[in-house]
Amino acid sequence: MGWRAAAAILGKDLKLELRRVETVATMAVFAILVALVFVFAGDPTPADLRRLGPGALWVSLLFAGAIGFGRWFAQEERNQALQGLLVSPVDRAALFAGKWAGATIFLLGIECALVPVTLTMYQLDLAGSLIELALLLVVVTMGYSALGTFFAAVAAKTSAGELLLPILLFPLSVPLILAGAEGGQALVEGGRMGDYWSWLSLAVAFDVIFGTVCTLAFEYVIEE
Amino acid sequence: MKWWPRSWGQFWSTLDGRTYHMMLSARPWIGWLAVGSMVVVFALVFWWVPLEAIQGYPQKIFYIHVPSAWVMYAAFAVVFGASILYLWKRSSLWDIFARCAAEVGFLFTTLALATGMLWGKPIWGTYWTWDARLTSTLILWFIYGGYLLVRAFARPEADVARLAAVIGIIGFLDVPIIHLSVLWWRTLHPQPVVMIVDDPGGGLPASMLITLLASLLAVTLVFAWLWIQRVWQERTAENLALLEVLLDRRERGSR
Repeated sequence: MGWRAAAAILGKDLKLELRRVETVATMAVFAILVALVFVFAGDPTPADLRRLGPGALWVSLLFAGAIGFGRWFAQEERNQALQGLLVSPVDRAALFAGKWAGATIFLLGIECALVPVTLTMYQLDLAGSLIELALLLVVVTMGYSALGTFFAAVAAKTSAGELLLPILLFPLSVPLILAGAEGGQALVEGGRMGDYWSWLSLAVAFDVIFGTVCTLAFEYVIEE
Repeated sequence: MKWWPRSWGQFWSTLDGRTYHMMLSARPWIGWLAVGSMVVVFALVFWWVPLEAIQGYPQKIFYIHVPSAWVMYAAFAVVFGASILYLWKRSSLWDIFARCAAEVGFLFTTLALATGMLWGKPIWGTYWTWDARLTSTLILWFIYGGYLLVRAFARPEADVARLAAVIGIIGFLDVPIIHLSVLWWRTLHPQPVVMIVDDPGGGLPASMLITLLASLLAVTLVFAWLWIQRVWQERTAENLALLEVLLDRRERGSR
């Protein structure tokens, strides 16, 4: 029951987004622009670029997510769609799981465009460790989407709205940003697989803890 | 044992009422103890404890910096516990406990950061370094700043207490993970600092240890007093609002 409801919500979100790709497409361009603007922050040599690259990738994703989560949640507020979902006999945890999966897939979609561009712009050669990079991206994105979906619902209850979302989201996501940037850095430098696995396991632990907590606590946020 | 409860529901409501009344009767005592112990601590710090050999006078900020950091963690632990109890019991007293602890905790986080920076300038040669503890304290400051912002800007129809409780729980659960990640981040990239000072606390001479313990106690008392004071204010405001509603109803009834 719970899984079917979650899948239905995910299916609805995907269908909506595929019809009008505006959010995902605009955010992909936005994220790439952030990664580009980062280069202007200094006058980087190729060595600087390789050092900054993984961090810039995660900062762009962070910004893109902060805009996206708010929008993906706000579409439920239009026409009282959220009230409709709340009166339907659906478990709040399933509702969260559906929205979480949707946000994860959208962000991963953005990464499909952002990652190749960033790797090229920052002259990072990761051809040898693409699987490790993909694994890191998926794990960190899942954790970030869990917090993002959750706090988008919190921020929607305040008059500051989407302005408040990054303020709540960024400090709590610090372990994920560090795991992504440092884990990526370990891959770029090559041969630091021990560090890579430590950061990856930190991110996995983060996902497990906050995936569970956010799923369980969602009903307290969403209840009217 | 007149008040011994017969059921869990009764136990919690008794605890609510009793905790608050015990706090109220302890309030003046805690206040005077806080003032008195602070005076003693100042006397110890400025007249009794010997000057640290290498750092000299700047080291004395240690006796306010470390207790502030300790109170910061204690306050956020109170927010965490009270938030869980609020979601479970839905009694507004637990919400007030959490809110007031967050406010006072935020104040002490600011103090810990400010005193840390003032100490850093003469010792490290800079106000700010990306030291693991400084960084995670700054992140904590932002988390509880966000908590207070949600409290301040929640829509009137939203249930602020519930939203805040959830943030109080998630924020506190994140603290150890943030600390660990920041620690790894700093150890993987050692930073060039002007002068590295050994961890204070290890191998502390007895006189410094006594002064530190006294200041820990004094600052904790100050925290407790400020917290109770805020709880009392909030509770009084709540009672006043309730009275206004009742009076309003009675006036309408008599008309």
